[in-house]
Amino acid sequence: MKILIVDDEALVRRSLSRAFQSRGHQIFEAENGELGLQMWLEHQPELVMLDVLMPKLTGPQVLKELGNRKTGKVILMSAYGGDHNIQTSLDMGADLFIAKPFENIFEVVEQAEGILVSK
Amino acid sequence: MQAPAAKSLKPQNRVLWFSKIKKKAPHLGSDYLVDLFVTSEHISDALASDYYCTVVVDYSTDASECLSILTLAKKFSPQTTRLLVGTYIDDEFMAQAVNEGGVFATFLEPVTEQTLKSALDSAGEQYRNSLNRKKLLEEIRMQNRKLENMNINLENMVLERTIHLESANQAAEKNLTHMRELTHLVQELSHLRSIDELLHLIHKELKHFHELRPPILNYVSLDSVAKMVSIQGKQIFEKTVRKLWPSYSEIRINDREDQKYLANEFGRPLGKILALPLSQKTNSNNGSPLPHLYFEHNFTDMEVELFLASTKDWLQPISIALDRIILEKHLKSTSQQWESTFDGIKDPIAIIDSHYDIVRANRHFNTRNFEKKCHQTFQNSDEKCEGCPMGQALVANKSIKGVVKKDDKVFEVYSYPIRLDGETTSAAVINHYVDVTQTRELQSRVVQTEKMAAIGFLAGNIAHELNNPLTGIRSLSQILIKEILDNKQVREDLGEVERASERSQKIIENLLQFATGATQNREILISLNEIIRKTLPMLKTSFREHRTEIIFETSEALVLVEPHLVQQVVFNLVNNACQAMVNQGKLRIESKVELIDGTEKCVLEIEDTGEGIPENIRESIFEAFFTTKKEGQGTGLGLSMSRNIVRKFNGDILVESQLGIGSRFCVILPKVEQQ
Repeated sequence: MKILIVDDEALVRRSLSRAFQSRGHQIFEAENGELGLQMWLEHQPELVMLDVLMPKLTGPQVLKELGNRKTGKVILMSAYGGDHNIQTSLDMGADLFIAKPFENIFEVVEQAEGILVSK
Repeated sequence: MQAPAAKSLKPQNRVLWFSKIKKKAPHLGSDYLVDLFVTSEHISDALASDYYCTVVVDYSTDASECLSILTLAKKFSPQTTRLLVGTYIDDEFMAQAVNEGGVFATFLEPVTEQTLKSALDSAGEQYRNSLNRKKLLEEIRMQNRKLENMNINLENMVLERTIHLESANQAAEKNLTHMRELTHLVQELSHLRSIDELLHLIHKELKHFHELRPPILNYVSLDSVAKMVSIQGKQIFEKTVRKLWPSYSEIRINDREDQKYLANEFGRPLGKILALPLSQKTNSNNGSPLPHLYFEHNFTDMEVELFLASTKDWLQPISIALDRIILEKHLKSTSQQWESTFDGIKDPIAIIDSHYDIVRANRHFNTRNFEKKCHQTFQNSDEKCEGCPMGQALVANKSIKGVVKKDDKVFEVYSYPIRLDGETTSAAVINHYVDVTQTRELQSRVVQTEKMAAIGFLAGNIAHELNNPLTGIRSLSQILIKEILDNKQVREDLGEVERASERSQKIIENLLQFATGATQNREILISLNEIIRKTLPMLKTSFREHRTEIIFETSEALVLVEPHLVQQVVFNLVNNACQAMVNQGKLRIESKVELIDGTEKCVLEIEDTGEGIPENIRESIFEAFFTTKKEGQGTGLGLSMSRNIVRKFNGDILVESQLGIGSRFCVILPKVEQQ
């Protein structure tokens, strides 16, 4: 499956893509929101791992910009947890909120695949 | 010697001779003048003339007639010598003649001329002697009478003089009494403190003038208010007059103008008026009318004269007293205004001279006993107050600010140099003390809170920034550990990297919790242990610096607190404990549950082996701004804030300490049972 990873932290992108690739997924990486939006429209991914705080466009801004052109599932990732933020992100069209830092990257992958299956 | 005498006596040798038998008077020569009487007729007239020196009675005739003539002679002319001549003289007659007729001598005839002459001479001499004596006596009597008269005159003169002297004396006495009265009045006047007293005194001193009504006094006060003060009954009435009174410098008796003026002011007709002007120096320049004493009276013209004579000397002293009273009243009200101004100010204010003696101070400066020195009064100390700027201010001759502590209060002290009593340089200061305890504490707390918030904000940002790469490092390590199956060494190394990033994440998580707590103020259930555990990592620097050995014993009992605040308490107490241990020491941190006063409490003990806290400051350490640390090392707020925090959650901090051995701080918090 096509998975787009939008995060400004290279190590996060790298570890996520390594983990997803090892599971046989096709990975696209974007280092900021603007690029993320562009690649989203271009590649029509089935899953987008979207960071919240990023340069140029934030995660929520990307979602807003995308509007009804959105494809696939969206997982928002942020260190700024809290019930309020989670609810807000779900309201904005995200399917899951995963708090940073990850305790275990493989659990994250599992959660992501769980979403893809539950259609 | 006898011849001239005889000669001179010649005309006086007169003889009255009574004889019934002799025809003519015997001739005895020119020295003798003999008048012969033959009858007793006319003889009494002759004897009464007192002309004869000698009476001779010839006893040959009628004895009783002879005796009667002798008796007559003795009676009319006692000084005349009486002689009896006869041829025979019987004894009985002789005795009668001597006893009744006062016969001096008797001669029996025949008598020789010589004998007779000698008898007559002796009789004449006796007569003359007798006459002389009489004359002399008369003269003496005259002299006596003269003397007596003189004496009487003298006495009169003395009497007159005495009366004169007495009246002079009386006048002097009167004068003296007058002077005494005046002195007494002046003395009484000098004690007066008010216009009322002055009026009462005048009234009292003049009470004996029954035709005089109580005095009325008009004067102008220093703030130019014209006043009239009068006595009605026993009370004093003072009022501001609408119209100024006629003012002349002479005393006026029964003047219609005065009468009319007073009648207008009193609203009733008045009798005769005496108007006595007083002098006033205090108002002499501003055109105000002279002060006046008025008396309504019923005197006759004569009595007015008497009254004025006895009282005109009083006007001067009364004027002076009035002047003084007006001036004093003005000064008093002026100084009272200032006094109440200063006393009304809540801040302590004092004028202090260069010897640190209080010149004046307001009420809030000396709430305690008033001592001579400012620091004795203000701080109850024999030393100058630490931080007082007055010494500097005097030297620099400009106002300087300082900070002085008093008990648990902090004062900002402003010293303003001033000159007293015309001195050329400043010899005193006004010290103004402003209590800034609350302001400062508040300010410090605000600063502290803001600082914490800022640190929280900063820590939050840093935590997020670190979290991202840490997430990557940890995740990548996890992936690599899975992928590298053949190299055990690398896998173990990656395991270390993964654990280190995990630890880092935990620290960041604590930091984030602390940071969010500082901005959220929410009480949660938490164990003291957790709080300590989350705080200790932040204190590692302190531990390292002081080479502290830590004994950490814990209990999991829960308390209801804002964790970040209790973290601050732990932070402060541990930091203090570390700083107390200059050389290597032991720090014991223990949390436990203890039964205190019958209830279970969570107790956190932080014990060091530092130098200990001297007993005299053990209670002060919890006061705001109390610090034993060097400047820059401590704010003096740590323990005060810590105690406030713990008390906020219904707990308390206690301290036990032994010099040279160490201190133990116990944080006691209510234990909450988990539901």
